[in-house]
Amino acid sequence: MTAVSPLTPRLRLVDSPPATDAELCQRFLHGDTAAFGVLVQRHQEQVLRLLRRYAPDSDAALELAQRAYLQAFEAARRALPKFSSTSSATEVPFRAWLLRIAINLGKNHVRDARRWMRAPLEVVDQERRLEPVAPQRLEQAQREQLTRAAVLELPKRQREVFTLRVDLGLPFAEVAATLGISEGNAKSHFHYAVKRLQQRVHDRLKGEAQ
Amino acid sequence: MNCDELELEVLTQGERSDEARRHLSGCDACRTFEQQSAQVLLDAQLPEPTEEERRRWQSLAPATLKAWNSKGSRSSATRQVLSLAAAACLGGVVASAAWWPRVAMTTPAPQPSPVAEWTVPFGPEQSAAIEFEDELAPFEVSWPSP
Repeated sequence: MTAVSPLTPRLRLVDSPPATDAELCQRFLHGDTAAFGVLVQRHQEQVLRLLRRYAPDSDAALELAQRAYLQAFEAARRALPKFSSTSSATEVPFRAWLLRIAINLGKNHVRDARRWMRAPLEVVDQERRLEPVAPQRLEQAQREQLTRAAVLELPKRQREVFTLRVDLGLPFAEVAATLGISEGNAKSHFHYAVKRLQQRVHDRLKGEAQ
Repeated sequence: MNCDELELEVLTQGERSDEARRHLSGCDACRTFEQQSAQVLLDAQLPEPTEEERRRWQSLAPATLKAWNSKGSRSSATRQVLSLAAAACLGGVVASAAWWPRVAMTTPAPQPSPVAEWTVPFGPEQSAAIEFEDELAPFEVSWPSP
């Protein structure tokens, strides 16, 4: 009579890959609020870093970020059924939508703020002004302010590429994927943006000196 | 390598190629561009977020979830209002459809279009013909017997 060895459990813990944005989106739209939290926290650093450039203070940046998320979720809710009926739902480019929506909202905010004569970035600059400023830093501070103001006046595509590259530090391939353009095109826009900024800042400093 | 290509490499590549180094060593304009673009990129950067900012950022997820839920309840309320309005419209259409035949019956009948008048000469000859016709025997109808 042979002894039958008892069944040994063969369970082992395996690190599951993190859920994709599209999976989290689907889970949230089916009522999983935890998925919502994960999705918001996953991208909030990038969204808020982008919006700091456009918003006059951190409260406004938070409000814009909230609107960006709401619009992106709304877009996902409309698009997910289409994606799942034709192909994999993982193709939903939630992050790209979110960043593009954030940039557009930011730009619209600046446009509206100009109507009311409110300068964006004034809080960031105020915070810096509170720090003790050596006289030799005054010129640098003025140049920084002029440059940042000039960034907001760049043409749309150049501004989008520039802020994704400088504020988020994205590689050009990711900048291109986010905006739906080619990598070469993204590099070209960045090149034109930097040249334009150099010219603008140079002209303004020259104008103020005269 | 021309100046445009050099500028693109300066802005988009991390390290300079040998060709770019050779170009830079002999081109004052490109050396100036390299220095100025580095300065512009530095000036354009925003300062790092403060601890206070980062602390506030943590409120984003709960605040957004709350806004999404209230937006959802608002849109469901809007849907209810719209469905009520649609039902009211439908009721109105049904009521007007029931009322319509009565309106149709009370509307005056269409007037006949005027008929063209003909004048026929009527003399003694015509009068005799009529009398002749009057004298005709009445037409008798009888079915053949089987």
